[in-house]
Amino acid sequence: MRILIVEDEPTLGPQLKATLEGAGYAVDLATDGEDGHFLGSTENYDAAILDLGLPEVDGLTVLDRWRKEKRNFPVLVLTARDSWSDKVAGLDAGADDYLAKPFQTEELIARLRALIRRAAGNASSELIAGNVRLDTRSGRVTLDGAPVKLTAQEYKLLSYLLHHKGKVVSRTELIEHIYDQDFDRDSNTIEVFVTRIRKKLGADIITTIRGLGYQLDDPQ
Amino acid sequence: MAEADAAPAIATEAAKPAALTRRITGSLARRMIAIATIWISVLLIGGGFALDRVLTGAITRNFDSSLEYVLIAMIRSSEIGPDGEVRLIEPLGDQRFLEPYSGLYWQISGGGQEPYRSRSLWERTLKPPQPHIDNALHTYNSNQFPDEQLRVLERNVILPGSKVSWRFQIAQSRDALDLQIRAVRATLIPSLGLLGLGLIVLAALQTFYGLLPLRQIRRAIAAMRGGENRRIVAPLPLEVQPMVDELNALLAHNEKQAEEARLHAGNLAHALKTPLTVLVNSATGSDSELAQTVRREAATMQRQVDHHLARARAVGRRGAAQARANVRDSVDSVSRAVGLLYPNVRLDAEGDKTLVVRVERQDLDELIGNLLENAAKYGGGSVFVTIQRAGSMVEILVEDDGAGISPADRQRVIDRGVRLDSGKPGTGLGLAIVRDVAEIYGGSIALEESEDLGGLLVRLRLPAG
Repeated sequence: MRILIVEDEPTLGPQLKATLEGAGYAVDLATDGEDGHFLGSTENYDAAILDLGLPEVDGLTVLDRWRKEKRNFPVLVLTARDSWSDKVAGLDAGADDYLAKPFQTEELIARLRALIRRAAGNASSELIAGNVRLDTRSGRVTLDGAPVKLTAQEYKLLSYLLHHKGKVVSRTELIEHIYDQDFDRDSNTIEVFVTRIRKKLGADIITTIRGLGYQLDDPQ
Repeated sequence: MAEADAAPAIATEAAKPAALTRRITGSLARRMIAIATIWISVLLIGGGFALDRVLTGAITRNFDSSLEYVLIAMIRSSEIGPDGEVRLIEPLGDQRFLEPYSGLYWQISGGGQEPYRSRSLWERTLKPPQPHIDNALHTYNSNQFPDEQLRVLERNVILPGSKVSWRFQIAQSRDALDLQIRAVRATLIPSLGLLGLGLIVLAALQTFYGLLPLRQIRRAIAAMRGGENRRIVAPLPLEVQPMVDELNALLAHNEKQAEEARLHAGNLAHALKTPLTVLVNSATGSDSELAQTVRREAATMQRQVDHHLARARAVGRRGAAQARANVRDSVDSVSRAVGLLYPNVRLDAEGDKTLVVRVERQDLDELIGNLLENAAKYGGGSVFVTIQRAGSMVEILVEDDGAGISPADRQRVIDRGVRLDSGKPGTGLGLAIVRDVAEIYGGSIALEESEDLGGLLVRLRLPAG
């Protein structure tokens, strides 16, 4: 894995380079925007770490130029300015993630890994049952195209049933999937969630199979 | 804490001298009306006296000339009798000469004899005042009769056939004359009084109208303080405009200085962040006492830097009248940013994509960012944003599926850290900033319970653009 770091700060740059090399990446370090842009447009990287506050050419401009040149490697932006509009500006310019200074290198490495993994594929898939759609990447659920408000638990339950569409899923299976180990496993709560999902998505979306569990299927 | 306490103290200090000055200088309008009242009174009283003199003079002259006519007729119809006395060839036509005490009299005297007089005088005699020997006509007032003021015309005449200078006198009671004068004054004085009153009222109106621009300035300044405008833009008269220009220039100067100071504070805070990162990273991976101290103190410094940055940003906000931002754009962008920070939280939004609010985009991002981050951090994993129009406002509802906040605690959470005096990070600070910023733009924030998700519902209302 080859990483480009664009960071002008004389201590932080080499520090990051050393840390990432220690984590097994091949790292190039550029110390100003002009250099960084040149390296990014000529070499092939798996990801780039870009500081926004750079001398000569600032980070947003570098990012913008890369994206215009169709350089589509994932970019993690480092910024000292952590107002929401600054974060949003980085993302809107084409960054894939951002990290506000000061940060810990462990976090940087974790975010970088996630970034590369996301870029490698993991295309979003849609689970569909009748007029209900669930986007696994964004976690968005729609009914006839309109967004539906679901709690995290309701979402997990619906998602599990959609993943096993047409099969009968037992309460125990649902409880194990939805709750943490140390949760008080009261199976009545599952009944409550199912009732709420029916209220939000339609009564016939989930069928209760007496004695066995629940089933979600395309409407006949 | 000390800085936060200082601000209201300054505000009260400033308010005190203002009240004091008001007492000392009084009202500009009152002063102008008082001056107008004085000059209107002086002019009208002076003018009234002059007019009175002219009018009474004319009436008196008219009165005198009719008497003079009678006097001439009397002189013309008199002759010296054979005994050397004056006598009238024919009696004077007016009946009043014959009626005793009628108020109209004549008398001819001279030669040391008993005066020859009209029957109306009865037993009385017109006494000549200062003796004079010329032949000119003399007119004067006489009060020789205790119950009757007289107007007397007299002339010395030497009649043909006599060496003696005869004094011819005509006298008439002033009653009729005084009546006329009183009648004129009865009209004149109320008219002048009314005129004066009218002029004073007009002067008051003039003052009110003339000082209207001052009220406009006051309103403009109030509007400015309320965040509607940044400058006084109302068209104002030539005399006031320079003052307003100066005021605007002062505002611009202050704004620039404040902006520079804020920028400075922001730059300083940001400049500290990179070295902090270096320090923390250098100290990571070692458990020595030094490394622990560095990590601990660096964490404290970071909190301080964050706190003062938030402060600088919040203080620097101004509600610009022309600012507009699309709500859905901001929600979508910020959702993405928050989603990266909290990858396990599901964020979704619903609502009209065209709704626009009168808020600067940066501030809108900050408002929504704070709300979404709170919901992601303290919620149960699902955050839902609804954008809807409500009359002249746009409502942004942020719901989560967390534990929510009990009704008793809701107000406290919003109020905690009023004006940023709370040093503690957490929901309080975030929601207090949201409330402050929303109020600067004429919006509001309310905490409720989410019906669909069971957690907290934050209702942010901002003026629609």
